[in-house]
Amino acid sequence: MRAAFRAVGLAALLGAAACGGRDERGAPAEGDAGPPVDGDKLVVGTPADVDGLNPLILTTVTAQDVADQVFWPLAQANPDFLTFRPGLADEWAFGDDSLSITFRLHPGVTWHDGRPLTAEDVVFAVGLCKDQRVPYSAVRWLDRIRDVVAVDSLTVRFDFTERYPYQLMDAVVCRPLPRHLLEGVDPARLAEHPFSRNPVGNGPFRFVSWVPQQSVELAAYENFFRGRPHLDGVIWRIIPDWTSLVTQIANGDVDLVVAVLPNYVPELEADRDLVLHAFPGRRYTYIAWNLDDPLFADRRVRRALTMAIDRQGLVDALLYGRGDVLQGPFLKILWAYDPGLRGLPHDPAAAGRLLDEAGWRDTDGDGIRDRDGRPLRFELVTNADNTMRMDIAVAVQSQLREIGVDVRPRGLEFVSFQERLTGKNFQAAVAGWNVQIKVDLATLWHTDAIDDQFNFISYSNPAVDSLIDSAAVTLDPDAARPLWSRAQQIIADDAGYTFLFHQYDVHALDRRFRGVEMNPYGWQYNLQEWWVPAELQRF
Amino acid sequence: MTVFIVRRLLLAVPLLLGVATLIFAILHLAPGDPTSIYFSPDVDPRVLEQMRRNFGLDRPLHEQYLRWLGAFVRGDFGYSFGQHRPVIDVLRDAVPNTLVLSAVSLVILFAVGVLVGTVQAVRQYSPADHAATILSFFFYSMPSFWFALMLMLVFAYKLQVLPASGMTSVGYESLGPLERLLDRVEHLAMPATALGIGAAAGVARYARGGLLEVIRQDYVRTARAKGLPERTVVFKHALRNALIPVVTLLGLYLPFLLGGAVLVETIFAWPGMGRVIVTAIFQRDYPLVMASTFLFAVFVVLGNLLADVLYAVVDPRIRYERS
Repeated sequence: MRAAFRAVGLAALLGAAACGGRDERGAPAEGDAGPPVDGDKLVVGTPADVDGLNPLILTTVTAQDVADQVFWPLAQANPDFLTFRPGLADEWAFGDDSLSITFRLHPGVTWHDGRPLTAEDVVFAVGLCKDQRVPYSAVRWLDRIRDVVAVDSLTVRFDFTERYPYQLMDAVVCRPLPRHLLEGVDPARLAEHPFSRNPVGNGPFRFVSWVPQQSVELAAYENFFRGRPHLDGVIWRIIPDWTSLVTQIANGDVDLVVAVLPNYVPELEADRDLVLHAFPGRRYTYIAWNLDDPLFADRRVRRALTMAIDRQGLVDALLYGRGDVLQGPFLKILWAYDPGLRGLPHDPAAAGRLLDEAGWRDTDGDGIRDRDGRPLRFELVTNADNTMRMDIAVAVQSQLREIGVDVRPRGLEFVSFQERLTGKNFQAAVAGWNVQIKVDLATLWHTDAIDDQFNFISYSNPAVDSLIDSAAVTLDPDAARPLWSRAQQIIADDAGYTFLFHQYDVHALDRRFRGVEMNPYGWQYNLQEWWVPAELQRF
Repeated sequence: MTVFIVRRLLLAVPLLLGVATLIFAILHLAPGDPTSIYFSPDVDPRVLEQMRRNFGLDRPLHEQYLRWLGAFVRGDFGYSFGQHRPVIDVLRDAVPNTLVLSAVSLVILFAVGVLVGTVQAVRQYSPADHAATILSFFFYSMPSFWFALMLMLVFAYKLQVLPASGMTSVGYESLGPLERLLDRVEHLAMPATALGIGAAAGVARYARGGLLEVIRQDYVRTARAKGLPERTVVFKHALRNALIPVVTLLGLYLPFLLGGAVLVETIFAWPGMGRVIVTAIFQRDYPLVMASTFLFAVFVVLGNLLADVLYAVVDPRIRYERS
């Protein structure tokens, strides 16, 4: 249940990625032939309730998934992260100076109440997204959008303050809202508007009902401009306890469980009625070393600790192999990821030598290295509700003990843990990030970010700073790629984090669904195309 | 009696106010605030500032307290930060569900407890008595969440005879009235049992003890001597008096049930107060935590009062008059 409240990158509003879904047991055979038929419903079991359905202010993963089906963007990112495919807009073009993008809306698109979608709705939504009183989480994506103009009822132009690589992505992040229903709303009170509980969108599914703590239901929108989705509806059932969730999918009450916790995967894998979809997700786990702590100021110590940890072993034991050891700050789903990155090997002997070199030796024979009378001992904190991170802390404790390092694991309540991180009040921490789909190192690694919340290890390297600064304004991806490569190599070498692993998302789905394509964009990538053969339909 | 009840209710006012103030202080002393759940590099710090302003969290603590208190005494519970709707609406949805669950548990636990206790007392030192004693201790000392999971494992996962969670099935709206009732009962069975069984074991112990004491008294011997059948002696004469201490438990178990509901509701996805509180605490949803814990405190006070009143009702020797 807790995972639901961990802020999930709201940038998930957008995006897709390479590395398509991998069906772990091969596609089912029967009933596959023939054209897709309409009918049946999908029941999704999820631990997190919805906290509102206005796409501007919702926060939970479930709310995000629901709103994605109700509200369509102007354009949708392709799996390459650079190009886009049509959404509400059929086509778009950059102005001659590249300082503007003009979108041409698909004619005849209607809101679920039947009113036509117009350029004014786009202008209205962006106005709200940019409004300081609206707590729209992706607001800084709109910082460089100077103005939005409705050229005519189906044409809308975004004007930018400068040219930069992510102009198109920024232009489509804020989803259009029905002006005729929301006009005149107090922006500071947008979340309280009945619209958040009874949204009217323009996507393939329309909102039917939301019973708090119980369920959310959507139904196919018959007049969806790209054709009615095949499924009649989608129902989310809110089931906060994982044992219960797994029981429900095992006995068929639920059709889909998203991001199954790793320890439940083997059990679901054995279930013949389920198909597991696994692919690289957007989450990674790391150990942060607080560089302000004298213990970790020396790069050799950080590198030694990294080499002493058996990261592949952690992937095998905790993720049942469903993950990759991570060597640098980019996940392989991002285009700027460098497959040639040189990481640190698992080599406890070399780690020991490196610590010797740094002056940490066991002089008093107690099994713990020391220097100037101080033992090599530190506290490794994490959030106790996350059992996987607690397991990591304990595993790291025993592995580092082998090379004479004394680790004291400590579990904290989630918010307390977070406060310790942002307050830089920690020595080492097991933590994780949910990455956005934009290529970005500034938030976590730039010297300017030390006083922000996220560079809490106080990492600073002028070489990285200048690489980030130049790469971030390089329009041509091929020219930017070498800059990003060098930056990630330096970050990996500096070992401010010990990158542990990039875990795969595993979604368990009932076998009767066809046409399913999942990828790091999310399980719902092509939900409007899913279908169920007539003889297997349940609803 | 009326004077007694009124006096007790008046005394409860400062008590509840103290409770509310304490909760307020503890909540605001805990690290983080409602914006903590948005912690992510994707979320602009400006957004968090704006949210704090929207929530009124940028004001000094004493001012927040006075504002909250002022609204609270006027019956305005405020606005839930996490659910984006008035707290009163959240409570209106959740409280009835918790009360249904607790009430059914309460019935189960007293029915089962008294029955088992009676059988034990009547057949004292029989194998059945010993077995029931061992089982009672087992259930009494067992955490409800563990028992809940075991129930689910057996009845929902292995046997698949009961739904694992929720309050109704998918498609509930399309069922007929009788099927609806059955569906509700099926969904209630496991949570109500998990919640009530530990307390039922406790009641059984009290009932057994009480009955054993009464059964040796002169008037029971007299009843037997009159030639009354054993059934009448036990159920009509003995049990009535033996149940006096058990009735007291009724009020005292109310907070116990509400506390247990927090875990059981989460496990069985029962949309009640327990889940609301847990979620609200993790989200640092101050107004909702305040209102729901306050409500629990009210239930506890009322439960205690109920116990005292019932005590006087069932036992004519007890009078709450000014001495």
